[in-house]
Amino acid sequence: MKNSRYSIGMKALLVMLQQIFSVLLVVSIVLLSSLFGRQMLDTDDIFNRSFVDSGYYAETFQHSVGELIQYAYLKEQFEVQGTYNENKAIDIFSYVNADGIIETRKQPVEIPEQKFRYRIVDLLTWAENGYSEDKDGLLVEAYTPVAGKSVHQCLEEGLLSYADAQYVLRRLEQVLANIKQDMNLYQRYLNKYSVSETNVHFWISGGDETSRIASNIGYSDMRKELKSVKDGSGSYFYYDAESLHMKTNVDGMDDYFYTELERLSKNIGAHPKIMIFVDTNFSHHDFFTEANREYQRYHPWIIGGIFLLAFSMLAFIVTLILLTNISGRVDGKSDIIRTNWIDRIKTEFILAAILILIVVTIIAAVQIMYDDWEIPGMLIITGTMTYVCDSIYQVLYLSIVRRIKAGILWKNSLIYWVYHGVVRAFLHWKVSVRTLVVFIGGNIMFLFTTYQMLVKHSVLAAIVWIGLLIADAIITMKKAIQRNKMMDGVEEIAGGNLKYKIDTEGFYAENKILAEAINNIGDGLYRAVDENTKNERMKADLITNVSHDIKTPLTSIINYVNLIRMEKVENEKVKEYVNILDSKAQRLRQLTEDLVEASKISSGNIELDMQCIDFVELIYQTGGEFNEKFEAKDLTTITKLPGDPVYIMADGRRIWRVVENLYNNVAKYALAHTRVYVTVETTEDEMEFSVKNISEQEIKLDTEELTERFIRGDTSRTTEGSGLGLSIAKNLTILMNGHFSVEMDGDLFKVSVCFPLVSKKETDNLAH
Amino acid sequence: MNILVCDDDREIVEAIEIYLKQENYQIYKAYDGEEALKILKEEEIHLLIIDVMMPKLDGIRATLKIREESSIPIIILSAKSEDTDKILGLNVGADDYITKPFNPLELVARVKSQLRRYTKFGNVAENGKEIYQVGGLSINDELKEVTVDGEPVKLTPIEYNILLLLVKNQGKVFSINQIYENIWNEDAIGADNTVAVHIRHIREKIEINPKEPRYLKVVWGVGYKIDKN
Repeated sequence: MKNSRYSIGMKALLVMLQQIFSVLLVVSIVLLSSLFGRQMLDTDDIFNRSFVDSGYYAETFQHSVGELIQYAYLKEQFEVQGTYNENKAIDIFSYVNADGIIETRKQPVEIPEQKFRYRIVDLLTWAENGYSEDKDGLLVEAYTPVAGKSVHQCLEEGLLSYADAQYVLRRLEQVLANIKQDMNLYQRYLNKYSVSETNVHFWISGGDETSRIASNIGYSDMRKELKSVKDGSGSYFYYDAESLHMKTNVDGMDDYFYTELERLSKNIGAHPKIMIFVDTNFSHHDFFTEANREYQRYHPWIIGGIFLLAFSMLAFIVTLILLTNISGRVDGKSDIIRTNWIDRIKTEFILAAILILIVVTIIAAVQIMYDDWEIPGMLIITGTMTYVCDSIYQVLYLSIVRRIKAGILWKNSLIYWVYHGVVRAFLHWKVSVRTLVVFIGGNIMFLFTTYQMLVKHSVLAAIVWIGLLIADAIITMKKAIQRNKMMDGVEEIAGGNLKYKIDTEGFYAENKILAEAINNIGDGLYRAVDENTKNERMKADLITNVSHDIKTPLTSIINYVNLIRMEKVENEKVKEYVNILDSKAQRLRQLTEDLVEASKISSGNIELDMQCIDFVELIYQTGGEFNEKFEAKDLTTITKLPGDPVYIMADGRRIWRVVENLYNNVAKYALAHTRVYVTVETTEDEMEFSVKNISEQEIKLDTEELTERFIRGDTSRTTEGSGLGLSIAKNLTILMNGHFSVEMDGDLFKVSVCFPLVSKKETDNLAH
Repeated sequence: MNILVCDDDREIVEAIEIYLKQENYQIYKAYDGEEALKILKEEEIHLLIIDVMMPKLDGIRATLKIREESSIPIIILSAKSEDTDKILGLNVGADDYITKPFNPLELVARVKSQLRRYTKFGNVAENGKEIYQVGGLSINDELKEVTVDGEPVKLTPIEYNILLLLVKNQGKVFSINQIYENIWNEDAIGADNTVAVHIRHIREKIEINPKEPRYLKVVWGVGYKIDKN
């Protein structure tokens, strides 16, 4: 299974599932919202399946109350003695249309002989055949009022002023515009309500003596029914404009009445009285039973829709996440993101396509919403649209996902492409050319904006001008900082910190190249030095090991030579030979020891225990140690030392080794019966110790060579000593931060050792 | 006196044997650490000379094992001459550390010194006020007598006074000037080599190897001192 996680089949399956769930999601949303719109979805109690308790029923009831009120005054206008009479004459000034827009005129235009009354059938035919206006904007009269004189006639006869005639004709035009629809409504209501096969019983009267009563039930029966409502078998609406009583047991009816119907009810009469009762047993087949059936049909969809919504939402999210996760992945290659042709389209196009798609979707959705669709049709159209949109969207979305995964979202963008091209072309120029271009371009922009700002008083130019100044300041500062960093780096590396790295993060291209070159130089030096110290260490270790191996047989040699000497040997020659053996064995011993020490010191493989040391005391101590050796060669020491202690920082045993080696040198190589000058002099912050003596033999080497290992003043190498004394002394001095120098003037041999003095303050601190 | 010599180099063992036999010591020989341990168990040994680099059991580990049950003097004899090697050897319980190649006479002197301290120390407990002791070095101020490992040492009065000053103030470092002022009872005006020369003479008399003193130590550039026991 694991191997096929990213297979094509898997991906196709997921894509399909994602599409299905997205369609289901949208369909369920549309279903629920349209049910909600039809008042079928009662948010208070979605599981209550009773039609009578539903908002849908309340709406139907409210609607039919409205219709009955309209019916009441339409009926009044169109009927004579309770039946429709097409010959009935209607006074156009007292005509009220169904929506109550054309209202009864309080000040109708009248002429003495006649009111402007027309027969219903004339008006209907007139409206049917169409009506038009003459060149003066007056209605062309096809029919005349019942009284006989047309408006034009009245105008000609001077019975009507022009303004009044115009007024009458306009009113007539309004009536003609509405009467057809009003008649249509009247007929519908007549067959809907004034029949025996209905659950709606109504009794509506205008309240004054002249007005008729619209009803399909007698007054006393109506009262009886209203009383019986308490048994719970019906809904009712009661309104009496005289006492202003209003009573109903239908949800929202009171609110609906006062906002919508109260205005219409005034058209019925001066004090309308409305009584409406609906038998909720629905014993007759009418629109209520229709609504009930519809409600029962759609109600189960509510519960189903909610579950569908929840499930498809979850599944939609899950499949989308899964798709996002596996998109671009290839089995067995966890680090590769496979992209396809669509991912090579510049990012901006994809983003634009997504944007367009979103806009199109919204427009289409709004379009569908405003069209009056039946629920199933609506579901089909939205489902189809969702499928199409989701498919396109998915392709685009997954492409973005793959881009992000592969890290090419930015790199594959148009902006990047253009920017990169320009930058690369720019960087290919020489630094000097680039500087020139930036300088010229910058100055042109600066001058241009300055001109715009000062001469044309452009605010935008001022902003750009300030921006340029700030940008210039920032770039100059950054360059200076980078230069500083590079200088620090060079100083660090020059000072011996070869591992130092300049942080080139955010450096400008040319500075970056330079800084990296400096880093590389540091690296190279470090490698060379590291190699060198490693080699020195290895040499020191090798010498130490070899010397151990030499020491063991040497021990035996020394021991047995000594044993021979202890034997009573008479032969003088043998005695001499043994003496030679002994001295050479001792020299070999000294040599091995010095060799180990010298190699360790030169490789820096020793630990120093730096302490505050009085150099004068040291010279006295050394003098005491060498006093007899010097006397043996009749060397006179002329010592010139300061009266006060001279404090330096050094490792006591190592500094002794330095001085000891120098004294030993004197004892070995100084010409007998001469003077040796030992001096310690101090300056402000330094002391110099020097030993001068006359060499016994001519020194044929230069001073540098003298301090090299294994080099001694006499090239014959016959005298005692390893030749390492000066080398050890020099290296130890340097290790303890001192200076060591050798000078020669003919046979005068001078060695100087300099150390920085410990300052007075530090001495006091140490003393406490 | 029975001495066990242990070194994997047979010639060295033979040579040491010859030297020590001349001093009338009974010699036992071993050529690795394990052998040495075996002989130590079987025989009554008074001193052990042991090499460090040996097959089977090296000198350091052998010393550690011996120290678990015995306090006989142990002298390590090694070609390793680093300070760290010496410190390690003395830390695991050796009494002395001699580097190869060694002076046979020095070895003999050190053996004698160790044995004298080991065997005679119990007796030297003449508890007088005037007796100062540092390791094998003992000064009887009443008799003006100095002994090292029981052997009397002849010192001049100035040398004696310097040594006494240092022994009385064990652990304290005296500069040349301080010693001068203490001994000659006058201010040191332009000190010279005198004190240093005296000190060297004292070392030559009381130390087996004056270059590696056990008692009178030189603190270079500071002064001289005798360490506390």
